[in-house]
Amino acid sequence: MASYRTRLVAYLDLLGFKDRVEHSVNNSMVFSAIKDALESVEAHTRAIRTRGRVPGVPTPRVTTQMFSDSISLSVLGTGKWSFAAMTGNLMLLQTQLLLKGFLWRGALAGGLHYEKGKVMFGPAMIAAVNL
Amino acid sequence: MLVKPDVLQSLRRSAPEFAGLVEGQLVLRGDDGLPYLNYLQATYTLNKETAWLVEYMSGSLNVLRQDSLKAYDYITTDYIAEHRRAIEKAVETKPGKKADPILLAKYHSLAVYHNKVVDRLVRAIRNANETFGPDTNLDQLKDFRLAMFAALGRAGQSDKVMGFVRPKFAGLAGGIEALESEKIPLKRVFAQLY
Repeated sequence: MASYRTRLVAYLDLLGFKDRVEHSVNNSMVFSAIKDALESVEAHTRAIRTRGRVPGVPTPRVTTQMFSDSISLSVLGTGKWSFAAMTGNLMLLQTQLLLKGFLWRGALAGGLHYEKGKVMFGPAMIAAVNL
Repeated sequence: MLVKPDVLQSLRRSAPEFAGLVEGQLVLRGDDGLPYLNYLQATYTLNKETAWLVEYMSGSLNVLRQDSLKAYDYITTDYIAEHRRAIEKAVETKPGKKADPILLAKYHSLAVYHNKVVDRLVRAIRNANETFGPDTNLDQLKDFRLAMFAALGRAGQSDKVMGFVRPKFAGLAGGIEALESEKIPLKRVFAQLY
């Protein structure tokens, strides 16, 4: 039976998103900038799926989901390999978004979380959103 | 990026040594005591370490394919400058217009963090550069966690590794002035708050 598992969950939102979306209605450059930034998150998600593993080093898989300016990442476990995988991915993602001109804020929490496909919920996500 | 304190507590219990490395480097604490991810400094040092490692491994040893670290391709050396530009651009206002004070306060705290990281990096580069001597051990360069280089050093390549890394730090030290110029002039950029 499906149930919660202990995971690290990060929740991020892009700063200044509302203003940019308003400007994008009459400005195709702003529209393209938003589209490029969000597509870079999608590209990052694909890269995570296909990235090779380093022999002898546990590399827990980090999953990413996105809706408008909200992005979530999660990884099974809360130990050092999970923490390293999560923070490594957060840094790569931060860099990608920064190079597209976006900054974000967010929080990282640990705890019970359910995730399968595009369905996800749980106390850890609530904690990350509320922090 | 805030980190819920119990994440670190759990890490201290399960991997105390690792938690010791994380706290004070990858995770800092704000004036309010809340831990946050030190992404800017961590990315900068990861960028340097990765670039040097690729150069060392592919150049002098030819054991690591250049494309095996492709995931890091988009980390640029101008990361600190990009961070500054993104903050300054976000708070730019048209002449005669005032910025939203709530939004301004968010970016101000980000700018304070940005300047703190530049100061920390300058200190770290000076320390690393001054640490080099005949008895320097790579493990001593704590601000730059050159873990892979340290492992190569322990595997008997210490002199070769040190010969490679030493000029790198000298180069960084030569760029300190440029790095310091990337600090954000808070009173000018956030004049509305001062």
